[in-house]
Amino acid sequence: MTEAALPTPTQIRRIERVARLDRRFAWVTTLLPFLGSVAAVGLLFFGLVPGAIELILIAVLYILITGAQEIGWHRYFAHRSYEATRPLQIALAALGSMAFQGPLIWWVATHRRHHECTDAPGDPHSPYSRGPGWRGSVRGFIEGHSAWTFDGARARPDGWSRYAKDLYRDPVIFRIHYRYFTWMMLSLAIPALVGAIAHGSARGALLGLLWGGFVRIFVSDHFVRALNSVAHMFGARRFDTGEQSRNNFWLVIPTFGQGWHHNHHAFPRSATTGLESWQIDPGLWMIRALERIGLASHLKEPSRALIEARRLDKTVTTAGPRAA
Amino acid sequence: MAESNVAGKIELASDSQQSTTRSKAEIQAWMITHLEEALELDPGELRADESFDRYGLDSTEAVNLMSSLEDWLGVELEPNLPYEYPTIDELAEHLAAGGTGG
Ligand SMILES: [Zn+2]
Ligand SMILES: [Zn+2]
Repeated sequence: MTEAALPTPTQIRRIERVARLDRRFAWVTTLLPFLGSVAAVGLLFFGLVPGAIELILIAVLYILITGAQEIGWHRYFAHRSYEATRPLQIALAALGSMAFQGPLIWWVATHRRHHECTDAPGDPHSPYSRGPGWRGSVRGFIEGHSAWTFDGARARPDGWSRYAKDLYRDPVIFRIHYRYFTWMMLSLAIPALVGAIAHGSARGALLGLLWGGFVRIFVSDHFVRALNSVAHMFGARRFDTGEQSRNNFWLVIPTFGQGWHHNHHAFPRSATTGLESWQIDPGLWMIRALERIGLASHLKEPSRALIEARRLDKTVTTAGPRAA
Repeated sequence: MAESNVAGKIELASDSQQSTTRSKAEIQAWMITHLEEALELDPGELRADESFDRYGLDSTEAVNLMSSLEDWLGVELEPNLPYEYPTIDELAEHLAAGGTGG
């Protein structure tokens, strides 16, 4: 609003306290699914082996939660690439909150910052932020993949909330946002409960918690994080975008189409990430299905002419990171 | 202090136009005291025309502020009001005028 004065010592103390809290929170969200997954694998040797029920749990929760994170948090809330009815908005906001990707409004603000200055200063998670050479590339990969969430200056810089004012002004979305901790707990409690009921035992609850909870979250989290690290370093480029995003076919299925990350950076407001008929986009299939039952509408897609106009003269594949 | 609180509550409970019982200045003073404590600021540090953002008010603190205000004013308030009215000035004015929801 008014011209910002220098922070006072009390404000600095406060900022540092918040940064410490954020760091602790980043440790919990990063370590908890990891340690849980290590425990799940370790317990395999003690006969705690997942079966059909756990596989179904993983698949269903992955599609509902990680799917909602991509088509809801990302394509709807961050980019408004289609219109969603109120019940769908609420369902997508709540389900996506269980993916351990942070609270909704913070995630949207962070993602909009990523698009505003991709791979340049101000990008919350660029792999090109840690200097030149192979050392810079390795450090950059770690930074873009995980380390940035521990750094308050990247994760919550001054004024970050300005990027998602539209969501802060929505009282229902805001309520879902600030109950983030509850959604995280539900993401673990639901598979545990389903396991307990399906097996009728505490052992079933543990299996559900470990595989439907921790392992599913760990796998989903690292596929999504790979979009910030891998998909900005390795893979194909076809458009003149002025940043370093890449397409990676192997990421397409687990990220519900976001593996076409370069396409997405070229056309961020598009409801589809697949721009060619052979570029499958499971996220689009989900949005189309929601459109068929009347929950989604007005999908935005770039015209053929626009796609052709933005193409580099020929398809160029650049392997390996480039120093920024 | 305690007595005036009780009197205030009774008055609020019997009056349907509860929110007009507090003036903008009263609400402003209350918010400044409350926020300086919650945000660990020195007395006098908080300015009514600066955005909450500037003092690092996060969503948890915004929710706490609104629920304390609810108790004090005796009305239900939307928890995200500090984002719609991002300064003490604006929020106090909105509340003094009888506004609650978003
Ligand atoms: Zn990106
Ligand atoms: Zn995006």
